[in-house]
Amino acid sequence: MSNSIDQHALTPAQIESFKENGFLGPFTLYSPQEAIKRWNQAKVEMVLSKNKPHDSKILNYDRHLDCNTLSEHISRPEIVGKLRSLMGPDIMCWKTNIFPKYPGDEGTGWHQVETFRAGQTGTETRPALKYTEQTAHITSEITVWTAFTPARREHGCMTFIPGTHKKWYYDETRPLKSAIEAKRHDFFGYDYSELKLDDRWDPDSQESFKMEMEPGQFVMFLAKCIHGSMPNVSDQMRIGYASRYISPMVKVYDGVDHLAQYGEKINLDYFGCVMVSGQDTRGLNRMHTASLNGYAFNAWD
Amino acid sequence: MDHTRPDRDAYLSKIADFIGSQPYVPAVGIDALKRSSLTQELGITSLGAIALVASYINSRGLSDSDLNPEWVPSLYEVDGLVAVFREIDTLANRAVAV
Repeated sequence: MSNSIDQHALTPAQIESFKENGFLGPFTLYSPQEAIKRWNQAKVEMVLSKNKPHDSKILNYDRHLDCNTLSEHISRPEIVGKLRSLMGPDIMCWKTNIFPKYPGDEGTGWHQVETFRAGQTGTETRPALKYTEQTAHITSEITVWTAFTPARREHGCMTFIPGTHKKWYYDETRPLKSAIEAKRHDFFGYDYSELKLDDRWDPDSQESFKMEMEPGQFVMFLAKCIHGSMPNVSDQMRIGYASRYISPMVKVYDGVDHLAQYGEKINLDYFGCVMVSGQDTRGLNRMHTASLNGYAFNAWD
Repeated sequence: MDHTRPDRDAYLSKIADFIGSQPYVPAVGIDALKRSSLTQELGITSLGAIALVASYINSRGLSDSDLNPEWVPSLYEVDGLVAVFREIDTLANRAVAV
């Protein structure tokens, strides 16, 4: 199986670009028609699922654990082959999120994270990730964001400030307190600009990159690279699906047994990481070898 | 798309009644259905529309596997919902005939 995945490795120039900018893409995974078809299938699976990981209708996390289309997506060779170029051979998927942006929705404000607060927003400050050792590779954390609808500028494409992964501009360990007033800083209902280390520093004055994508394309990035998204000024909904990957030496949800956000709370009893490449050599995390439907996850050799 | 079909109003009425029996989508009257072109205007989300269709399929004695993912894009529109309900009825009637 290694041969077929190795053909999707990054070139040395692409690796250098990722190291310099903190993001890389877009790459084509599915044709636009295939992407839309797959998302329609995934939606049907989400609705009909008899094995939902949790009951929340607001928190759309981790549906790779009960929707076969998404279970297959997270270990696509086109994705994992590129991850291996940056993370080494041992890789696990720890979380997925659906990011819908409806017509008229505001953009998502600039943010910079690395340990991901357990509830993602709000007063929660417990980290979701603990890095137990330094990686020998380029990184031990990458997010892959796949567009399942058009994600051009007008639909609310992702935006990045190149090179910002090299330095902290925000303090992700501080709680988010205020409900959003300045919409351009909106981070899921909170004002992420509160966490800036230097009040005088203005991310909007920096040169940013608009990652426009067609359905079926993906971008890979470090969550520490400052990113956000444009407002959706089109009449079409934008759907992004983020699959988040780590090395096995990262411990997930240490001492965290639930997630709380938007007034909802979900129990993490269902949680488990999924190997998509190599082996779990550390044994730090609960693992799933099959989805809650019994779908056997594929880990590349 | 479906405005000219003679049974359109009958289907809108059937859909309004069916929606009223489902707890996970907001109740809507026949007038609201007639006025709206998009299901979103009725407060029905895209997943809610799929759930509605799934329930209707089951109510007609069909199974979840009869839910065709190709129907999903048309569920954004009220007339698309009408077309899908009509297709489900055709499938159900065919199954009974067999």
